[in-house]
Amino acid sequence: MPSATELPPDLSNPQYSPSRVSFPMPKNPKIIILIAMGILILVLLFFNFLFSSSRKNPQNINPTPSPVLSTPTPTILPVNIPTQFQDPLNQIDQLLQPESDFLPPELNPQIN
Amino acid sequence: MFWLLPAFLALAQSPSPALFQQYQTDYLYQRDQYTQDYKVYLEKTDIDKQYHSISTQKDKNDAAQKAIASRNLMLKTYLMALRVKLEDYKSANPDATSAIQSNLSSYESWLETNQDLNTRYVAIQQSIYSALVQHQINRQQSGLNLLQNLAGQITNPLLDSLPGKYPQITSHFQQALQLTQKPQYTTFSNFYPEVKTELTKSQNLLIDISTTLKYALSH
Repeated sequence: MPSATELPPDLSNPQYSPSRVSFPMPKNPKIIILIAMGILILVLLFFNFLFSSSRKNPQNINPTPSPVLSTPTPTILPVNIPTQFQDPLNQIDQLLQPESDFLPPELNPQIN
Repeated sequence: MFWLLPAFLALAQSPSPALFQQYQTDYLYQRDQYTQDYKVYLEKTDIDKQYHSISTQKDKNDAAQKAIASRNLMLKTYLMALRVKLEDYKSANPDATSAIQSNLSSYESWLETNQDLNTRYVAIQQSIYSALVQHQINRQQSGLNLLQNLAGQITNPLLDSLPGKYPQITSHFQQALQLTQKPQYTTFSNFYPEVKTELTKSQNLLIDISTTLKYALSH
């Protein structure tokens, strides 16, 4: 039995809809903007939290291949080579690197 | 302050790269200048063909003079940059390199006083490409000298095959140099692509030697 304070809905009212849940929508645009900004800040904080937690736990990050590793790795590591030979070998490597040609300009020898 | 000393020493030991950068910048500026002047000359030539008046002919001649001057200046700055670049590995073949540098220098002087490039164009082209070839040979020769020196310090049966490769490399250098002496006639026959084939072979041999040496050193 409904109590005296709990009045039954007025079914005769044509605007009444039992499935419609009504929220009090603010009519002031400033309040709407403030709410939107608040939601945006919350979303940003959420992503920031996700990012910082994944950085704290590096095992959660999928290993991405580094550019160095993706290139063909040399079969001989420099650490295996005695120290006194590393400097001359580096010099040799530099000399054996391809060098761009300093080609002459294209010109017209016949201007008249 | 003492940390500056190695930097100064490094600069003193290799003045060529910095000087080359400066000369190259000058050359690139002159190249842009020539491109602009030559474009103007072509425009004035077209206008003169259309109207053929005294005024348009004068404009064309003025533009031609300007284009010739900037072309020769551009070529001169290129020759200067190339001559400086040859300093990089000159110690590998000092006499041959000095001869080419002297040749380039003589053309630089010639360009200052002469305008008709047509008379020396083929000879200048030959000198330019000979210089490029010599520079690459010097660079590879420097690498070969270092490799030979290093291999001489190590006793390892893996390196027994190396001495047989040194004459092969030198032979490619000789063939490359012979190609630069190819007789030239009224038009320049560019030997550079053939030279590149020879120098690629010598380069591959050098890389092969270097790999063998590293392998021997790490085992």
